[in-house]
Amino acid sequence: MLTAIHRERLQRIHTILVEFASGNFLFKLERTEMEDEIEALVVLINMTLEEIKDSFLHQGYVNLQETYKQFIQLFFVLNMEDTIIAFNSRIQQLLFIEDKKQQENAFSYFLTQDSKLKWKNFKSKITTTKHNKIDEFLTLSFKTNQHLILTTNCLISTFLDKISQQQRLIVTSIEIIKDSKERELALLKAINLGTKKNKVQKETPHSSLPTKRANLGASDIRKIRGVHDHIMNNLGKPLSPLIELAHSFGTNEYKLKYGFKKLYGQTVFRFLLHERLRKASILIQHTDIQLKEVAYITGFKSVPHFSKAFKEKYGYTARDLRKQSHNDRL
Amino acid sequence: MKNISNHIESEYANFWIDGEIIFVVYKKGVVIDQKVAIKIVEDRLSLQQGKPFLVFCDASGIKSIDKAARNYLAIEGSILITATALLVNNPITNVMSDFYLKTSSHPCPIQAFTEKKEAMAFLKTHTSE
Repeated sequence: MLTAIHRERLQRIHTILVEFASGNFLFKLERTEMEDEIEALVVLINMTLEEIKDSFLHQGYVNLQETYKQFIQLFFVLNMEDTIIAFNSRIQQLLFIEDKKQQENAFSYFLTQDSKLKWKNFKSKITTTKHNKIDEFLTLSFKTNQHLILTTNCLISTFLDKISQQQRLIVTSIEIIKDSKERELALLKAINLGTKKNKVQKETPHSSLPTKRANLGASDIRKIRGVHDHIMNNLGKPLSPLIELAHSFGTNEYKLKYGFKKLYGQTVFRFLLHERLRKASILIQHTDIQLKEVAYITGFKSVPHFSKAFKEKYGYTARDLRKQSHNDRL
Repeated sequence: MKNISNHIESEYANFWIDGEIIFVVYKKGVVIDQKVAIKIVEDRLSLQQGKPFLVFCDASGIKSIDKAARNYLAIEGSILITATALLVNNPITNVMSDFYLKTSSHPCPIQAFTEKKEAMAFLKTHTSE
């Protein structure tokens, strides 16, 4: 027999899965202190949503041919006592604020326990600082009526309301989505193309699109991911030429070149360079391994080559980073 | 933070070295985000002093870990590690380790265990001798 509390927890899981199925990846489930199988399922759902949500954004980040829209997810105007003065209509949907009464609640009413504390600390910090203009990012988790969690990076700003002569707070968060209009047009184009399939193939109206494109199937993606893992696992060793690499993973040079860029947003060699430098940066910051040795461990052929690449990526030299990290540790 | 020669205690975990193994034991109820992950890697590396080690990681205290932290631990967090044995012994950390091992790519061998004895036996197969 399920106790009422377990039933309630399962109900929330149902709710989030329905949201998920309808294409809403914004929410998360609230965690409890319990350590049972239901809690494990909650953890799994939260992590899965995170992965899926990010892969949508990732697609957006890499694919430069797409257009994207940023729009306001949340917008609150508060007075310094935390009373909500105004908010955008989308909040009603997102946080499921239904009745008028709830709109009169303090801002922190909509936050999770952890975020309530974070907000309290932030508020006490800003009331004690002398700067009258605040512009700061704070990650806050909002609680919906259905006990789902919406975590978002908010920009908190203050301004002086000229009419009332009082300080006000603005809390905003921005969401990036694919331009749906663009998506609809793409669909329309695809459908039109499909119906004209047997007719003479026309050139695409966008001349900027590459005329030749490799079609990546699931197995190609798997192979390219294999190359990615191979690079990550062998940063210290020289990388074989692309053609050899492609063949050893059962694909061809063109697919690897094009597919890698599509999946990871950069060319194979640029990716390798960046990952080597990323590793080098950690070794410089947190170990005492000599720079010469760091260059060698991370696969650079010579120290000057390493130094130059490092400076180019980060804008400061490896030596400066070591000096700074060393000072921080003292 | 205490740092007595080969032992570090932070807000999030205890670290110490015994032979070729560095022990990382997370504290109960730790919530790992990227900031915490960076601190954990920093503490571990400061103890290692540039030498590679095998890692015994008791993850059973972890309450949650977000994607940014998982990414950081899988890449930056694997620096100077020969192999990792994860100890998990409740449904939550079980699910987290399954997820972590499956979704992130790991440059060095990593495996999850529910028994400390098995975890140590796994590390033994990766010792330098």
